[in-house]
Amino acid sequence: MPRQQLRTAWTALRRRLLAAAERRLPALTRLRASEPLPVVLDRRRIYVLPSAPGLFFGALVAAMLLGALNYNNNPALMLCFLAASAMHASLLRGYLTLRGLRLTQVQAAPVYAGEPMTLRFTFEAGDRRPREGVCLSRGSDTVCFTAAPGELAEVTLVVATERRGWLPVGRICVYTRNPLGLFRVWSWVHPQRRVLVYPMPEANAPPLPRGADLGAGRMRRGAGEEPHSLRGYRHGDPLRLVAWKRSARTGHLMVREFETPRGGDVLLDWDALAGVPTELRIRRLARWLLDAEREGLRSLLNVPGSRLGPASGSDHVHACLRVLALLPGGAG
Amino acid sequence: MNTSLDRATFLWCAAAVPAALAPMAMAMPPWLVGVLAAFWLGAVALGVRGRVLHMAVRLPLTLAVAALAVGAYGFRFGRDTGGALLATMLVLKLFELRRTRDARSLLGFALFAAMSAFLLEQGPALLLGAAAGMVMVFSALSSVTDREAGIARPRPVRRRLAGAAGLLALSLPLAAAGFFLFPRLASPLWGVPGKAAEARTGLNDEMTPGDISAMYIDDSPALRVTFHSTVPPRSAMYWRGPVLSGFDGRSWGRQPYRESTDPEPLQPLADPLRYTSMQEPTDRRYVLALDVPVSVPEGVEMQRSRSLRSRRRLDEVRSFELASATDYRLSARLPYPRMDRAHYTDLPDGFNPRTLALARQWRAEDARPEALVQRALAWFGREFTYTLEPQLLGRHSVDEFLFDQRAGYCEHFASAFTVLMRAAGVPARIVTGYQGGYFNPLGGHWVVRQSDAHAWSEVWLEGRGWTRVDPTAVVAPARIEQGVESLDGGSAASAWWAPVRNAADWGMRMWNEVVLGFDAARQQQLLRPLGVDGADWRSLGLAFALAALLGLLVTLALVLRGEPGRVPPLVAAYRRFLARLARAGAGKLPHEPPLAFAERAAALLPERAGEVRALSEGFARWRYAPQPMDAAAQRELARRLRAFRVPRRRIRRTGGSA
Repeated sequence: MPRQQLRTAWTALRRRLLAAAERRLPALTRLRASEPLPVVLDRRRIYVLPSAPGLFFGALVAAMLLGALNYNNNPALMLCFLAASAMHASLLRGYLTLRGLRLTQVQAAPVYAGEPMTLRFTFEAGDRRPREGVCLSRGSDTVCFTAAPGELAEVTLVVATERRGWLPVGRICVYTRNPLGLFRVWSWVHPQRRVLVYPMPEANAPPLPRGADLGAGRMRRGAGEEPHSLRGYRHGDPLRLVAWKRSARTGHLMVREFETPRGGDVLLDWDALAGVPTELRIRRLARWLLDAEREGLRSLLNVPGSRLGPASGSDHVHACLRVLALLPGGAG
Repeated sequence: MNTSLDRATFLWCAAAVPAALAPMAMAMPPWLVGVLAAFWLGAVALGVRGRVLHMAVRLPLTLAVAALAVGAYGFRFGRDTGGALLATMLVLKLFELRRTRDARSLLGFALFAAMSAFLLEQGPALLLGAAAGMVMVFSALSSVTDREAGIARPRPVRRRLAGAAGLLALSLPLAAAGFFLFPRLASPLWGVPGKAAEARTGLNDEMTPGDISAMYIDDSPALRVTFHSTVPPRSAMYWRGPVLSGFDGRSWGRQPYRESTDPEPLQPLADPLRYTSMQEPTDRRYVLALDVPVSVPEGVEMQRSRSLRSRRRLDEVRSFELASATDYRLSARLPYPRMDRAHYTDLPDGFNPRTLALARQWRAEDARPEALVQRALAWFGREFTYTLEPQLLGRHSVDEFLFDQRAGYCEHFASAFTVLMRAAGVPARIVTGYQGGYFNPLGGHWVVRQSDAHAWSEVWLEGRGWTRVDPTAVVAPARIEQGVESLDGGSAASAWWAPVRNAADWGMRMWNEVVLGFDAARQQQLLRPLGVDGADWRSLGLAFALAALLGLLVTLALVLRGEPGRVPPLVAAYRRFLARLARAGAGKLPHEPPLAFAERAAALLPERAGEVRALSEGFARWRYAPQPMDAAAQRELARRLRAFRVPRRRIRRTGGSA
């Protein structure tokens, strides 16, 4: 497939050129440094180039201009100039669509490595002009939004995750073809934000290592499944926990919190798994941690550098997963 | 980016097509417009259901309609044929509109169509129509763009239209700069193909009295004249067009082979009148001038019989600087006495025997040419009437007119008179052109309309040369004094209408002058006030660049008007105040609050301490006090801040710096 090859070669060349531009002309490309939020798109970082339809229109108007000049046809000339300068005005409009746009937040609920992660971007439109047809692209994923003046726009981009640990949000292209699609106006945004990717729990892990009772207590499974209290909804709460009736009554989303059943303790010990490759060890510990939580057991995580627990509950689980996610790789 | 179209976007594209084609449709045969409209409806009906026509149907259909369009112009390929073909293609393209890329190319060519309408016609209404078409095209483009960006909720129609119209309005300054200063071509790059169908009123090189002319109905202007010297009386405004001297018994025609030598000698008896004439396009070559022209503008040549003829066909509005002598002696001696006399008394055999007999009889009674002329005119004045609806004339047209009907209009009188004179042995010829004019007080110019078309005679008299004789003036003096309108009695009713008509005429003249008549020569004149004489393309290019820059700045200012981030006037004034203080040696440190700085500045500049303190306090109160300051106080404070002056401190160089 020569066509396929050509495309691959082109992509590679483009990437190399971009990389070279980034190295040599950081001031021009502004691709390099990540920056703290909020990021305001200003004129120093907004670029404009005609799009393919824009070039087509330009060629058309140039042809008309030539014809009008040749025939010395003044009304046609006037219309040509009107069209050309309307194209130019559309460029300005496109530029103004981006200028002053603020990226205020990037958020994401943690996911397990390999699962798609939803990045949530919050843009502030500012109070003067509507932001119409602003698109966000990262890699091959693109999403567009429109925000009225004074509005906040929340946009989500889905990003694939491959490995545990910090995932930088990375470089995002904010672009628009508003209003006529004749120009592409874009800006690179590289927020200083990273999101955590948890290790993927092992799929077919050995059973939970019980017996390492760290304190007294018999499993009282099921007894604690009574709703204990209600609290406000937070990002990431599973939908099945939402107390719909109460939510409807109060007007806010409420979530049931369960009393943690105390069933016993599990020791999740890094050293006990000697001989297992590091990544697998981490994934297995993650699996066990979740299993223990599901069964209502308290768990104690002991990994090089930290010791968490014994405890249970979502805070504990997240703290443990965080530690696991951030363990240095390759050791042992 | 190539997504499929949704219904709203399709409808926008479909609506843009007729809007862009409307200017062109004015010049197309109505039945073709009807056919295209029917196809358009079909395409819309299919398109809103999200269906496209199959290739096997589409291709033959396209070919058939294209053939129809070309056939409408008799299979001749001209600008209008090309336009009709483009219109056909645009309408049929709607049948296969599926994706945004199709839509974009459709809209591009729609814009092209809106523009190419001007190759056929150049009126101001057309420009408005084309601008409206452009608004529709841009609206559709914005709809396509939104579709590509995946915006689900389409913008309301009015907002989309307003956005596109706003875009056009914004582009006006830049467009104006381009229009006036973009260097024009002095000569075309490629040949200008003619139009397949000609349908313009005007004078012909031929005149057949007896065939009813439609000219009298046509009220459109033929030329507009601005006099630079004295204005001749209306009854003396004879606009000389082609001179016809060949008669075949029925029609009068030009004799081109006789016209190619030097113009007949002219002896003006008074200072010539100078005037500018702006002549509407005729697609013919004659140039009208007040009887009799003495000067020859560029690109025009003078015929032997002193009528002007352009070297090129006049297919656009042209302006001529002319000079004419209204009191003159033309060709006091015939240049080739025998030949000329023979030619100007030549009549074909076998026509109008009664007229010939009458002429012979008159000649026998009194052979002096002046007496013959007077006798003929007296007869006309006594027994003939003027009518705009004469009867058709048969083979002996002059006989029938002179002896049977005795009613007709200028062509009949001029023709009959000339034949009579020739038959009596007086050299005579017919001059066609226009007579009279209508003064437009708004523009200060005279309008000569198609309905002012006229024909008169010239007889050659020994010692006086060619003398104008207008037999119509004897029969219907009002025609010459007040114009054709006076004859149908409609002038009183149209009195209230006159201001509107004047304004419309003035507008058309402005359009002709400012838009249509703007060519390379006028462009050069444009720069003359700036001290650039005979601007070449380089200085024009420079001027264009500068003006484009200016236009850009204006556009930018319009776009950015009222943007956030503008410094409030009081802050700007305060900054100015600080800059003045800094120059006087009291610079504010970035972290210093205004009041603390005021104290320090007051210490540094003790003579201005009070003023500095008061102004700084005012500023601090405006900026930080909880109660807002009213607008008048703000303005006053800003004014005082701006008006603050301190002498600059001399900065003395203390030595020692490296």
